[in-house]
Amino acid sequence: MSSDLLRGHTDTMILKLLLSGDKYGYEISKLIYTYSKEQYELKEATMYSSLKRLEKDGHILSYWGDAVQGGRRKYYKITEQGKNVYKQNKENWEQAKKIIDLLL
Amino acid sequence: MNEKIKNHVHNILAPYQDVENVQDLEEELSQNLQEKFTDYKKDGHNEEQAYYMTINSIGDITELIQSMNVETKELKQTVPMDFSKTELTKSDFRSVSVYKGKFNASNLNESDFSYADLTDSMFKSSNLTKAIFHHVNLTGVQFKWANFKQASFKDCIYDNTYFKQCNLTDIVFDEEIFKGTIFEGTSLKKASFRNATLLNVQFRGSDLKKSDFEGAKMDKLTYNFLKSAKIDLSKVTII
Repeated sequence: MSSDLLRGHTDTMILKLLLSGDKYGYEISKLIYTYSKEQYELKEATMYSSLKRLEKDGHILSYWGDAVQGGRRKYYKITEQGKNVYKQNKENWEQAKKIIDLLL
Repeated sequence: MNEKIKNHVHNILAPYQDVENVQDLEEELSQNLQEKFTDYKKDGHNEEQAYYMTINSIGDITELIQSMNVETKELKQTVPMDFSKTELTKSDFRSVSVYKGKFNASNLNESDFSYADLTDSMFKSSNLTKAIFHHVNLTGVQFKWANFKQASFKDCIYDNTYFKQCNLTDIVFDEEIFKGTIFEGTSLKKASFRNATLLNVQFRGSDLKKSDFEGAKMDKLTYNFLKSAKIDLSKVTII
């Protein structure tokens, strides 16, 4: 399967995961792996570029947590704006899915 | 904290130290990879496997840098990887791919490049004392004024590799295969090429005093180069 199609939705996948609570990077990548039934593994570079972009656009916020295993974890929190973007993206996808199904 | 992971993250981000927030990213990435590494070990992978799996999961770092607050102009100067003028003593470059990397005037004393792909990279005035090159792809790599004192080479690819005015004194290249490799103005004093294979290799103006080609196989071009340098070729096979 082409991973480009999946990669294009990384931002929305991350926003969805943050709807249920703040999370740190590795936690996000583990959840994506588990929820995709071990079929999709995000590369760190892809995930962090998405996180940095979302943060820059004000869709998420970040803060440092306490130290674990010798280092600090950086947590991400979804903003109100981010929640709206998620809803919009999800609707767009539902629409696109219907059209693609008609055409492919 | 696994130092190797920390160092690896530091090295891949080394060219981008001017980028805003890169130190934060380094800390964050190291920490997350550390936890991933611990999980791989819990799953029953040994230390080395877990390390390589962790490192391999990083992906293309340039993609990440581009998403950060960087002016495009700044980016163009930093990509591809530029390690010039950096202090990289004992660095771990194992298994990395650095196409067209620049290691100009960098100190790479005791660095380990094993299994790395350095295709078309450039090492100018670099200190490569005691560096380790095992199973390295050196295709098209240019070494200029590099010092290889006590460096170690084994099972590398030397297709069109260019050594210009380098110090390769005493280096052992036994059983290595050279194709289109050029040694120019380079010291190969007491270098050993025993049982090596040499095709279209040139030794322009290189010092081959006391070099050893016993059991080597070579084509006529290489043979003629060496013959004119008055090297003992009595135990050489022409192929």
